[in-house]
Amino acid sequence: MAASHAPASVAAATDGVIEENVMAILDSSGIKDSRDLHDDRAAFLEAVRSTCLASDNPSVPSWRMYDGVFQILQNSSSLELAVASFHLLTELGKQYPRTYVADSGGHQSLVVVKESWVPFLFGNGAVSSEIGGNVRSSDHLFDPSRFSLLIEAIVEPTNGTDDNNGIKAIENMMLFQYLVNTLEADFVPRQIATKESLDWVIFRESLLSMLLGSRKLVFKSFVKNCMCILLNQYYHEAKDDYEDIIPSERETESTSYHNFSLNYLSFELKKTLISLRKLFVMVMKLDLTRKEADTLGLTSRADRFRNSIMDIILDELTYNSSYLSPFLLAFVERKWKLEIILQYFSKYCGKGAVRTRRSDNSQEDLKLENVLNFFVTATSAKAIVRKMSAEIAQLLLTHAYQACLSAEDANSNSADTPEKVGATLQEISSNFIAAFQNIRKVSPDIQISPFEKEALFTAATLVRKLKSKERFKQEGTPGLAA
Amino acid sequence: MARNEPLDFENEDDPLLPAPRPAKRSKVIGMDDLLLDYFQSGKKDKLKVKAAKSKHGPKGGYDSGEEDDRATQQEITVCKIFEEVQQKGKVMDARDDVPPWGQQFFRCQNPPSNLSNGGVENCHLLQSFSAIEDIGFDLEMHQGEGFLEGMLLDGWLLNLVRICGFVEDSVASWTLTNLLHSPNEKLQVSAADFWDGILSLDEAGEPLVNLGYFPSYSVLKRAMLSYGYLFDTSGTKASISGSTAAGGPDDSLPHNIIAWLRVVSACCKIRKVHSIFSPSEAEELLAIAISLFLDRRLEGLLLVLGDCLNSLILYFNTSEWETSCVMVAESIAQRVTLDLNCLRVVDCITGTNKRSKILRSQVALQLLKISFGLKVANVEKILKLVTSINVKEKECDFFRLYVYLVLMDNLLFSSDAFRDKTGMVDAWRNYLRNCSTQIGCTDWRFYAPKARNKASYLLQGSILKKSSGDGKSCVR
Repeated sequence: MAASHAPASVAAATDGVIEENVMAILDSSGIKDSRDLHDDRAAFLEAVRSTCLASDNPSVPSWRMYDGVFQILQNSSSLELAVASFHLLTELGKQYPRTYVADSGGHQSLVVVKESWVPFLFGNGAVSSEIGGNVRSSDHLFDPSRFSLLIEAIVEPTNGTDDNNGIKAIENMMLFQYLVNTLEADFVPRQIATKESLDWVIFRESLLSMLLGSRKLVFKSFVKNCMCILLNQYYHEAKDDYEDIIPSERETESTSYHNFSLNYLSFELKKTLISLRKLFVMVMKLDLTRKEADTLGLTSRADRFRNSIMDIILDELTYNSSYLSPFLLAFVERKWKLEIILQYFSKYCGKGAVRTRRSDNSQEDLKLENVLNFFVTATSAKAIVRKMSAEIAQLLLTHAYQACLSAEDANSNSADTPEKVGATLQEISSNFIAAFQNIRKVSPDIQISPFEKEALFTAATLVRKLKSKERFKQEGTPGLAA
Repeated sequence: MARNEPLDFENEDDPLLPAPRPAKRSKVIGMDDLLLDYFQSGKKDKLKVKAAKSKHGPKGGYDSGEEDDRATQQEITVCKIFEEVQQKGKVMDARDDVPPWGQQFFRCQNPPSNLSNGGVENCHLLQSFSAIEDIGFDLEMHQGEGFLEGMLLDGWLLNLVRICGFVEDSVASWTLTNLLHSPNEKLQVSAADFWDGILSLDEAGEPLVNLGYFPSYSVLKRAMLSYGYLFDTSGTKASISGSTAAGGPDDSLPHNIIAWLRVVSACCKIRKVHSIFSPSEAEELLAIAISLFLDRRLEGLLLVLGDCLNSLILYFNTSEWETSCVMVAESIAQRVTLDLNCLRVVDCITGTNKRSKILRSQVALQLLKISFGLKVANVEKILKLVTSINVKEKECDFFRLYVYLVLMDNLLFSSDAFRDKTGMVDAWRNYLRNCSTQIGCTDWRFYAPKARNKASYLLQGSILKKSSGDGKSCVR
C-alpha cells in the first residue's frame, strides 16, 4: 500500500538547496501583475511535483513547500490552480504517508511519522512550531473550530456575486475533500493495525479522534450541519429541474462558469458528498471502537465524553421524519445504512430495554430478518404501522432491502449471509414482498413511490430467478440461463 | 495564543498568506507602526534641525534650503521618468503578451439523429416479469423504458445485475447509449456508475458479471464525433486558442464528457480478461485524452482526466508500449500549438510512473522535432540546434527559447534514457549556465527575465541531480 518511503536522510543533505530553489519561484519581487503571480504559482506546483514525485530520487517536501501548496489551494481564486494543488497534495499524501502499516515478520505494526506535515493544528499550536524547528505561521492550518467553520461555509455559501464565479465555494469544497482524505489516510492504517487486538490508544491518537474530541468543535451542531449538506443535495436537484424548465432565464441569470463550462459547482458538490459520507462512516467506526473500549475498560477520563454520531442522526431523523427519505437516498454506505434503519426500527419495536453506557451488549441486536417478521401477518403489521406511519415503514423496508442487496453479488456464497440480515436472499425477498402486501391490507389507500415499485420488481424477479436456480440444482442440470 | 500568529511583516512578504482575520489584538503595536513612527519622528527631527539651522545661521540656512529644493525637484523628475518607463513597459508587455494556454478541440455538436433505444422495452427482463405471478401491485410496467430508467437511476438495476451475474445485450447497450448521449445529467452519472460496477473483477480476478456486449472503440469514437471533437489534425491548429475562445457558444460543450472519460477508464480495468481496444485504438484514445487537458472549459476535470490518462497508459502490454508511446507522442505533437499549450501538455503527463515518464520525454522530443522541421527525431541534432541560439543577439526570441528550455529539460531528464550520456548532459548544462549569466538582469525584453529564471532554476536542478547521483554512488 505504502509505496516507496524515501528515507528522509538520503535527500536531507540537498534538501535545503532544493527547497530554496523551489521556494524562490514564489518570490514576488520584481514586476508582478496578477498574470505573473498566477504563472509563478503554477510553476511552483509543477516544481514541487517534479522534485518530490517525478524525479529519480524524489525528496520529501519540506514544511514550507507543503505550506505553499496548501495556501494555493485555499487562496488562489483560480480553478486551474485549486485543482492542480488539490491533485498535488493528494499525490504527496499517497507517496509520503504520515501513518502506515509496516509488515514486520507477519506482524503488522503501525508507523506514525510524527514530524510529517499535516493540515491540522491541535492543542495550542506548540507542537507544530517545535517540530518545524523554527516558529512559523500556522494561520492557514485547520484547528477544530476552523474545521467546523468550513462546514458552515459549505452549508451556507456566500452569494456567488461577490466572489469570482463561485470559486470560493469550489475551493471550500475541495479543501473539505482534502481534509477528509487526510483523516482517512490516518484512520484506515490504525484500523488495520488493530484488527487482531484492540488498542484504544492508537485510535485516541488518530487525527479524527483529536479533531472531534476538541472542545473547540461542537459535535452535535457539526453533525447537524453535515446532515444539512447531505439533505440539501435534493434541494439543489429540485432547483436544477426547475431551471431546466426555463432555460432562457437560467442562461442570463447564472454566472459565467455555468455558461461556458460544465457545472463544476455540482460536480464538486457530488465529490463533497462522497467525502462527507466517508467522514460519517469513519466517525461511526470510531464510535463503535470507543464503545468496545469502554466495555473493556480501556478508556480513561482523558477521553472526553461525546455523543455517538448514530444517536444524533437517529434523533434528527426521528424528530423530522421528512428528512428520512432524502437522507437514506443520499447515504448509500450499505452496512451503516442498514444499521441506522435497524436502530430506527428498534426504537419503535424494540423490547424497550434501556441502553446504558456500559451494558448494551447484553441484548441481541435486531436483524433485518426480525424486522421483516414484524410484518409477516396483517395483524402484526398493524401493530407496527400504528406506531410509525405506514409510509415510513415502507420507506425503511425498501432502503433496508437495497442495503441488503448491495452486499451480495453473483459469486458470493449464498449460504453465508451478511451480518445484520440473518436470512437467505430468497427468504428476504419473499418476506419483503409479503410485508408490502400486509401493509397494504392494513392501510389500503397507501401510495407506493416509484422507488418502492422498483424494489418490488427487483424482489419479484430475484425470487423467480433464485427459485429456478434451486430447481436446476435439484434436477442436477448444470448451468443457468437467465 | 499570540505567538502562533504571524508577525505583521511576515504577512507582507508572503502573497499567499490569507488576509488576516479581523484581529482583536489591534491594540498591540505592530512592526509597521513602529517603522512608521520612526520615519515620521525622523522627519520631524530633520525639520527641527533645519529650523534650528535657519534660525542660527540665516545664510547657510538659505543655501541648504535651495539645495533641498533642487534635490526634491530632481527626485520628482526621476520619479516622472521612472513612471513613464513603467508605463511604456506595461504597454509593451500588453502588446507582446502570449495568450495563456487553451486550445479547443470541439466544434459544433451534432447529436446523432437516430438514437434508438434498441427495443429495450422488449427486453427479457421486463417481458418475463409481466408473465409471472401477480404480486398485487400495479408496477406501471407498461411504461417500459421509463420504468427501466428509474431502475437505473435508483441503483436497482446494478443490484439486480450483480446478483444475477448477467446482463442482457439490449439492456447493456441501452445504458451505454444513455451514458454517452443522454442530456439528463443524473442519468449519465447513474449509467457511468452502472458500467463502472459491472466492468470490475472480483478478488480472484474473475469478472463480476458475464457480459456479451462491451463498449467498443467505434461507439466511443462516434460519441466523440457527435460532441464535435475534431479528429483531423490539420484544421485543429487553426482553431481558436486562448481564453478569448472560452466565451464560445454553449452548444459546443460536451456535456457527457465526464461519463465518457469514466467509461474509458472502466474499460481499461478488465484488460486481463478482455481486451476491449486494439493497441492502435488505445493509442487514439490516449491522444484524445491528452488533448482534452488543453480545453480551458475542462480545467476542473484534472483528476478525472488524469485518471483516464493513467488507465490508458497502463492498458498497453509491455511489448506494445514502446511503439505505441512514440505513436501517441507524434499524434499529440501534431495537434498541439508550440506555445504555452505544448508546455501544459508536458506538465499534465505527470511522470509519476515509469511509463508516464517515458511518454513525457517522448512528447517533448516530438514537439522539438516538429518545431525544427526535422524528419527524424535526432536528440543530438536537436540539442545542437537549441544550444546554438545566441541569447546576446538582439533578435533573440526569448519566448521561443523559454519553450525550448522546458521541452529540452523534459526530454533529457524525464526518463533515464540520456542520463549516462555525459557529453550531452554537460553540453546542456553549459548552455543553461550561459543563459542564466548572459541574459542580463536589466534585460526587460519580452520573456527575457522568465527565460533567465527558468535557466537558472533548471541549472540548479541538474546540478543537484548530478551531485545526489554522485553521493549515491559513493555510498555504494
